[in-house]
Order: sequence, then structure tokens, then C-alpha cells
Amino acid sequence: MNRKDLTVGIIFFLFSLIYFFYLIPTQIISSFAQTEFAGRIFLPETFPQITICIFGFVSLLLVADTLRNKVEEKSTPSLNKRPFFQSVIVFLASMVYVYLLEWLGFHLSSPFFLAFLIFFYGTRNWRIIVPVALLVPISIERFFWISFKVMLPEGELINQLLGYIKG
Amino acid sequence: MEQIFDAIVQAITLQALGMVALGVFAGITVGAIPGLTSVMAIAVLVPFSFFMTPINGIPFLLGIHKGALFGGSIPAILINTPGTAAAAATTLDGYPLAQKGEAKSAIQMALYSSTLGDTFSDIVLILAAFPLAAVALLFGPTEFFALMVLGLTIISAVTGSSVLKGLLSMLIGILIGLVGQDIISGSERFTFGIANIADSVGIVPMLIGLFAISEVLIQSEKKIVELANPPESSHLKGGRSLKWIELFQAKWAILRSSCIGTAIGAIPGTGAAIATFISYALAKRSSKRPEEYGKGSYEGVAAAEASNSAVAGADLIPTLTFGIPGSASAAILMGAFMAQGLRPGPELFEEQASTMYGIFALLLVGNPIMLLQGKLLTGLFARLVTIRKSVLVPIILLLCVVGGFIYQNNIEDVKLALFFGICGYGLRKLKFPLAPLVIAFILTETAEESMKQALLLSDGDYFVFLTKMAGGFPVSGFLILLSVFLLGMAIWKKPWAEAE
Repeated sequence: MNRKDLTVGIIFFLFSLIYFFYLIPTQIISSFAQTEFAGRIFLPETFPQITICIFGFVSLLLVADTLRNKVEEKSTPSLNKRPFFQSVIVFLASMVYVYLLEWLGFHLSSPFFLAFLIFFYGTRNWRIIVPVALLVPISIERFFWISFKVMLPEGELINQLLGYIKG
Repeated sequence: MEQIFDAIVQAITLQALGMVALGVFAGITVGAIPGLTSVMAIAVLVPFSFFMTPINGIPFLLGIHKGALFGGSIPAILINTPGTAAAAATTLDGYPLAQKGEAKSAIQMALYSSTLGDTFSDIVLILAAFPLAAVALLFGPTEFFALMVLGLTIISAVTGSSVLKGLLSMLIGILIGLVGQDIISGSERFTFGIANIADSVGIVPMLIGLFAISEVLIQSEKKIVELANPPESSHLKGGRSLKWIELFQAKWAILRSSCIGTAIGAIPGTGAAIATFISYALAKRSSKRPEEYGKGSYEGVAAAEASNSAVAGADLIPTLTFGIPGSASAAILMGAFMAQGLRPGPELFEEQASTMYGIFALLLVGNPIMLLQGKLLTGLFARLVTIRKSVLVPIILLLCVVGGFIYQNNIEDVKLALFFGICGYGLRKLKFPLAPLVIAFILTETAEESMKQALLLSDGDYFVFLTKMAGGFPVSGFLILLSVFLLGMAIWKKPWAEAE
């Protein structure tokens, strides 16, 4: 029995119930009165209802299939959580970077982001880290500006600072 | 005929050729780096194409698709690690050849057979697309809905190792596709008051998140030593060039594999990996020297590479003619078409015939460009195999962020891409295939519209999908029953799962 699949099947089934009984009634804002429609099939709820019913049914099938399959999961001698945490750290760093983009802009935050990741992935040579972290964001920014006249985020803080300096 | 000629002449500009060349270069580059897929490359580079006209932007993306399939053979031959899943069979003979000091000739065989296979499937695409689109024009909403059900069923059943997970992935795609404005009533659905998704979920942030950011997170799981150090490159320097006689001896293997790759590629959901292994097995069975297979056979390399490249053109057949993408990369390309204001489907060939002729012409021209780049830049691409992932992966992540931002010049799209990145990572860890999700997402709007139109025309009779006659034949009924049959077959026994 694959415990992961069993858990996923149960969570998906519960989600289908929440979707049907809570999300559909609360998250579909009809701009027309129901009476204006020729029949129920044209209501905005109909297609989501059909889809979520099938989703719930297939989730149950996954649960049943997992329970029916008696073959035990191969037990791993020691569960290594390191790979998962590495991914989590990269994801968290990306979230922080996106937040910094809004405030500090692309030019200031990208070199730090790149330098952190290159260091995190194991390259400790600063003769690689520094040039890559500085040159790549500048190249990308110049490429977009020269080729497409697209300006990458400048950052609220920088904008305010520039506004203050200009008076 | 004159119109076709004019359209082709207008399309083949220096700028368009430059974009194809750039796309092919980017594709080979990505393919040559183990672990980076063509799907990821197309997803990251789709936003770049928005700044180009369709006639430049689409061939640029098609060039990536082409180039990556050949590029995948380079690490397969040099370091026994396929650059893409499609190049897995190439390692069987490519790496032994490299160990014998014949890496250069093996890569050249991969290049020639990839080019020939790709050209073959492009020709089939061009010949089949217009007649098939003409047939599809006869379809009404009922038949289209049934066709979409069939397409989604095949994709869900074939992709991945579990039919149920494929189905759930497809249904998640539909649920995401339902977010935004209902096309019939204009009602807002599942937006949770978030302005950025009031119309619909942006396709580009979703693609970048699901395919590129999730890939970055998967790469991040690797051991630090593996990420920071370049792979072993002892076989990079490789001897002689390929002899013409060796290419000539592989002619039947190339032709047979091109046919198999094209036929399998045209079936939604099957993909290049399946086509490659079937072609390889058949080539071995039909060979005069089967004992050489697995020990360094040029025929083996040719069979695998011709087949996987032949899928590139073929998987566009259902995408362009019926508007039903056959693979994740075809789905992304369809998204790019839609973002350029071109909705794949039969009407495309009627309304935008000249653009399509131009795109097809550039698709064909991409093959000699790939040959030229492969011949001249093999050494450069071979060096890419040894690039440190610790430097490459952060740059890709940076490009993902930039790609998400430039889609609509909105930082919220970057957040959306990150959200889909973590979702894609989770789904991949749980072994849910992503292709059905993306394809279903793209088709949801059309499917819902077709279903409602069909029901409107039949006064709400659900049996219309089984009983409606088209040209004296119950086309939709046949397609629906075929879907049910295939699904039943897939759940009962999934023979291709073992083959995979």
C-alpha cells in the first residue's frame, strides 16, 4: 500500500467536498439572474459541478486502488530529508527575492539573489560568484531594455528615494 | 499556388531566419545540458516571443523544440546521461561509441539522423495539416467536444505510470481553467477577489511555474557536490568524422524510425520517449548486425535520434489542426500561438493561411539551420555538457522571474509563477504527470463553450453527444465510446507502462 497515494486520494476527495459545498456556492458570482438562462446547463456552476464530481469519484478510485494494492512500499532504511530542505530553502529565497524586487528593484536585489544561490549550490569560488552575480542581471536588464524597451522592476524604495532627491 | 509562394517569400526574411537560428541554438544548448528539458526551455522563453510578430516568434519557439531533441543526444553520447528523456535510447549505443573514441562521429550520426527525421515529420505535418483542418471544419460543437474528451482521455491514460493520476492531473487542469470569467454568462468564478486572475489564470506564469520553477526545485535536491562540480568529461575529445558509407548503411533504420516517430508523435500523449524505444527495438530486430546494438552501433544511434526528432513535427498535427495539443511542449506552443492571437484549430488555416504557410516554411528551413549549427558548433555544445549546475540553475531561476514579470509587466504574475512552481514540484514528487494538467487547462474554455453550444442546439439533451449524426455517421458518439473504451483498457491493463 502506497501511503502517499492514499493520503493524496483522501485529501483530494475532501477537497472535492469543500469545492462542491463551499467554493461553488461562495466563489461563483453570477452576473445574471438564474431565470435568464434557458436551463440549468447554462449556469456558470454547471461545468464546475460536473468536473468536481468526476474529480471526487476519481479520488475515491485512487483510494480504493491503493487499498486494494497490498504490495507494501519498499521501506527506505533512513529517510533523507536534506534534498527536500534544499528545495524549500531555494523556494523561500525566491519568495524573499520577489518581495525585494518590489522594494529594491531588479538591479539591487538580483546580484544578492544570484550570489546566494550560487554559494548555496556549492560554488565557493568568489571569482565565479561575483562576476556572474553582477554581469548576468545587468546583461538581462540591458537586453530587455535595448531589444524590447521593457523596464524591469525599479523598486518602490528606489523610486521614492529618487523622487526625494529630485525634490 | 501563387498565394502560397508569396506567403513563403514574405515569411523568409533575414530576421525570421535569425530567430529560427536563435531558437535552434537555444534548443541545442538546453538539450545539451543534462536535466534541463525542452519543455522547460520553451516555457521560460515563451514570453520573449511576445515581443515578436507571430511569423518570427512562433518559429523561434519551434526552433527550440527542434534543437533540444538533437541537443539531448550530446550528453547521452558523451557522459551517458541523456539531456532529455527522449535521448535515453541514444545512450545505449552512443556512449559505447564515445568510449571507443568515436564521440565525434556518433554526435554527427545523431545530427544527420535527427535532421532527416525532423524534416520527414515536418513534411508530413505540412501535407496533413491543411486536409485535416478542412475535415475538422465540418465538425460542429458536439463533435469538437467529443474530440476534446477523446484527446484528454488518451493523454491522461497514456502519460505517466498511473491512469488515475493522469485523470486527476487532467481534472486539476480543468479546475484551474475554470478560474476567471465564465465565457457564456460573464460571471466571475473562483477568483477569491484577486484582480490578477479576474479574467483567467495567466498561461505564461503557470507554464513557467509548472515546468521551469518546479524543475529548478527538483535540481536543487541534488547533492551539493553534484551541483558544484562539472561532470566527468573524459570522452569529450573524440576522433574521426562520420563516413558517408556509415550514414548510407543506416538509411533504412532512419527511414523506418522517422515513420514510427511521426506516427506515434501524432497520437496525443505518447511522446518521443516511447517512439524512440519502439524504433530502437524494431531497428535492432531488422538489422543485419543486431549483435552490435548496445555495444556501439551507428545504426542504433540513428534509429533512436531519427525517431525522437520525428516527433517534433508530428505532435503539432493534432495541435494545429484540431486545437488539441498532443504533448506538454505542444501545449506550451499552443499557448504561445494563442498569446500571439492565433487560436490553433481548423479556422486557423482558413483565417491565417498565409501566416501558417510562412511558419511551415520556416519550420522546414530550421532543419538545415540545425544541421549547420550542429556541424560548426559541436565542440561548443559539447563543452556545455560540463557546465556547473550551481551557476546555471540560479540563472534559470532568474530568467523564470523575469519571464513571469514581462508577461504583463506585473510582479503579481511572478508570485503566481512561484505558486505554480511549488504546486508543480509537489505534483512531480507525487508522480502526477503535468502534461494532462496543462493540456486540460488550455482546452477548458473551448470544451465548456462547445459543450454548452451543443446542449443549446439540442435543447439541453445530453444524449446529443451520442446520437448526433455528422455526414450520416455518429462521429461524436463514436469518439465518446472510443474514449470510454480506451479508458477502460487503460485501467484494466496498461501495457505501455511496462514498456516505459
